[in-house]
Amino acid sequence: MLVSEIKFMPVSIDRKKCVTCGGCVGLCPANAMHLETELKHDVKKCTSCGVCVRFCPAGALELKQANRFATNS
Amino acid sequence: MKYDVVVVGAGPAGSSVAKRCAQHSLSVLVAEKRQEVGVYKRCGEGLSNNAVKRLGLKIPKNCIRQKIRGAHIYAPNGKCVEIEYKGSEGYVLERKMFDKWLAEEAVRAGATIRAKTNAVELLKDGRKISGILASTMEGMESIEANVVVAADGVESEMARKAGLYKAKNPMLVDSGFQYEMCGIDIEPNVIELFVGNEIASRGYCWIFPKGKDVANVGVGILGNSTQTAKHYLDRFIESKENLRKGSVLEVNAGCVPVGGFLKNMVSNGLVAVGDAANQVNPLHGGGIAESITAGIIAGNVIKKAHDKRDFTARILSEYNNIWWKERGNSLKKVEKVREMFEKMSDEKMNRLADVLQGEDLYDLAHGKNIIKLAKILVKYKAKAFF
Repeated sequence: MLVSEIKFMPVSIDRKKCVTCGGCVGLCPANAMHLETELKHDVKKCTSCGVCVRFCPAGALELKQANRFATNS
Repeated sequence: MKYDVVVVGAGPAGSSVAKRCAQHSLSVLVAEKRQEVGVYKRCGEGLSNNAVKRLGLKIPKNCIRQKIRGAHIYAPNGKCVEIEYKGSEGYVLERKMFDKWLAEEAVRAGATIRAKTNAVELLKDGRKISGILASTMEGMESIEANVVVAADGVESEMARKAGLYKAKNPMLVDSGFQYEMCGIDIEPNVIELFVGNEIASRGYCWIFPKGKDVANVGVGILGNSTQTAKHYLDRFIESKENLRKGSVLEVNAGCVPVGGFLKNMVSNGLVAVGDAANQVNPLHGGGIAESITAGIIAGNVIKKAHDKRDFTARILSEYNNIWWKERGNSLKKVEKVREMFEKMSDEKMNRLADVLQGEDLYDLAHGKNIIKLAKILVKYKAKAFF
């Protein structure tokens, strides 16, 4: 595993807590969030800035270590 | 099929634009992402009678859950400032019914609404936006239109894709969390607001009654607080004897823009309205009235552009001018008031509650009589407060 992969901490969504309010979609500077029937997160676009994590009213978002080449959640 | 106008989102803003455009005999399609209009709500559901009168809304009875005759605002130390709505009243709506009613009105005026039609991309024809690419139950579909109206709420994907702004400023959004609760002990025709940094960091907790023992109980806090909005709300409910025993019927959350009004809300072939353009009262976070107002203005401007067969930003920017003249300038003042409140400590708020009368607070929330209020504050040497 490369060092850059270890440092990369994209947002992970806790579906048990998410209430699909879409607030994170409007806040994401990288356009990595998208709301359909459930919240979609594009790991490839995520810059791990954490704006959405601090904002989320339900505390459903978290920065978690992951593989950069992981599939979209 | 090509439409004159395609509206993204069937909330109050989208339905109002659609209705107004249809009344001007333009062909209108409203694309609603969710499978049902009006669900689920991200709202405390309050609407003042002043707004209803100003907009000339004839709200059917089934959309109104409770009439409100006043508000009680509690300072951090528990002191209550009472506001009586003289000669007018407020309403707590049932948003599911209200949004559907607005959508029905749009359809009756001649618009078409399609639920479960999710706009994913803007279509471009050179430098002009020429429609949307939508994901529907039948698959992907290109919907062409002369004007796209971005009424897609706080996500504002269309407005941002058109380049109006990059992302919402986290300092200018509030994070809201709300339960619709039943089995609680409340005053049925008074809304209650609780301010204080301890209770809600840079925001307030609210109880909006929807009947004898039903209410929306919620909190709005600064978007980048260290604790989640849910944490503040759970703590608030735990601290209130009359709420603790209630049941939760609905969990709502949302993001409320509280400022950052856009100088420019149009682009070639696109107009942004409602939450997508941050059109919300920055003090109390109410957006229904602002959305409908903007929707009507936008509808009229689109009609003018249609008559001229010119949908460039230059023609559509008349919407900017009218909106700023009618709403923007007074909302900007309200934003200043919010900034002032947000700097205050709990102790200062307590002292302010001793000085201000109910009507003064009402004026502050509406950007009226600011000078008169400033005089009162100076008289009480309130300058030292800030």
